[in-house]
Amino acid sequence: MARSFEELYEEHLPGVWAYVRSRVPGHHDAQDVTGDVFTRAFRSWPSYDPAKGAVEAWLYRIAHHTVVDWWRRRPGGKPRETPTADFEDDNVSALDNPEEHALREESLARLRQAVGTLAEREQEALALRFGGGLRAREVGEVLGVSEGAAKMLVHRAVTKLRGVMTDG
Amino acid sequence: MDREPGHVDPHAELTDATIEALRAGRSAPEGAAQSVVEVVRHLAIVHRPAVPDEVSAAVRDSARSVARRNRWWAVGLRLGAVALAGLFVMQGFPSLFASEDLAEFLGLLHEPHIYQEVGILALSVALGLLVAAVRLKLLPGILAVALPAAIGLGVFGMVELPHAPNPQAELLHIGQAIAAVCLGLLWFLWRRRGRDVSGVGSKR
Repeated sequence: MARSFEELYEEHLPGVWAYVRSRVPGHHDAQDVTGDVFTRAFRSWPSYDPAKGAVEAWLYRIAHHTVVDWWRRRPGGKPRETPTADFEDDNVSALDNPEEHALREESLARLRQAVGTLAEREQEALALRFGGGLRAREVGEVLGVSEGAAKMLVHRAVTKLRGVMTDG
Repeated sequence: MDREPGHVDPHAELTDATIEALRAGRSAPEGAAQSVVEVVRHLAIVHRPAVPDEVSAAVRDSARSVARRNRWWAVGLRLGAVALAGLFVMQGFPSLFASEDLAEFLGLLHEPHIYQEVGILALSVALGLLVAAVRLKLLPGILAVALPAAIGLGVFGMVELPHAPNPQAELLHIGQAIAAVCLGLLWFLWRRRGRDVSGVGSKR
């Protein structure tokens, strides 16, 4: 089905923002990188070939490369653990009970920190699967692995994070 | 790069099914551990912050700016294709429909068969270029034919120019070569600009 770039942008901005926000610390840096992603995507939109793969995988490959390039240009490169402190400002919890809200925020904070300690590929897989909302096959296309391997990456990450939730 | 033979771990499949079910608003599949369900629910929250208004506005402005630049590239390519098509029409039309007059003007022997064949080929290339001017995705294909043809004609023109009594044909051929090379270069730069930033085709 033919679609315009504008439709693509409207549909995928939330997912791309979520993906970039989970891979780039700092609200303003993430804003710049998100802008770069769509600028690059728009420039290469005329050369996108649907026969080569889903548009979602194409777009998130651009996002992935943009994030990698951003880390390369950053002095000191990528730290061993992805900083997560800035994420707290962006999430809004709709829980009514303040105590539940506090407990939920605490477990979310532990989870965010734990995600930052995962292997790079596992973090990427989670960001694409949950942030970008991609299916496992599309995650595999972006990362250059099979669908099964993509599912394993996500499963391993979730398994490691189970311990974080239960230890709380 | 990770590769698996066809087998997929059943636990990984269950986790994947759990993610899909919760995303669709359904219950977790049978057999899914409650701890996995909790992690999946929390990951969905952690990874989906709302898009701030300033991000939407900034991205929209950036996209508009790039759209303007893209339009100029497209205009240049279309004009280039039309210009080159015009030069091939200038060659093909007299060759096909006024070959005797053309031969007399150029001071050459009139071989109707050869002139008509050249006319048909030149007009076919022109038609292809005009179609590509409308549908830019077809431009690489027609350039694969027009570019070597034009360069060949240009070389022929440069060789014959010192000896030609009326050099219009030779100058036309040299013009075809220059226009084709310019159009080819413009297309190459446009494609490279797009491919470099998308990462498509890059080695992992």
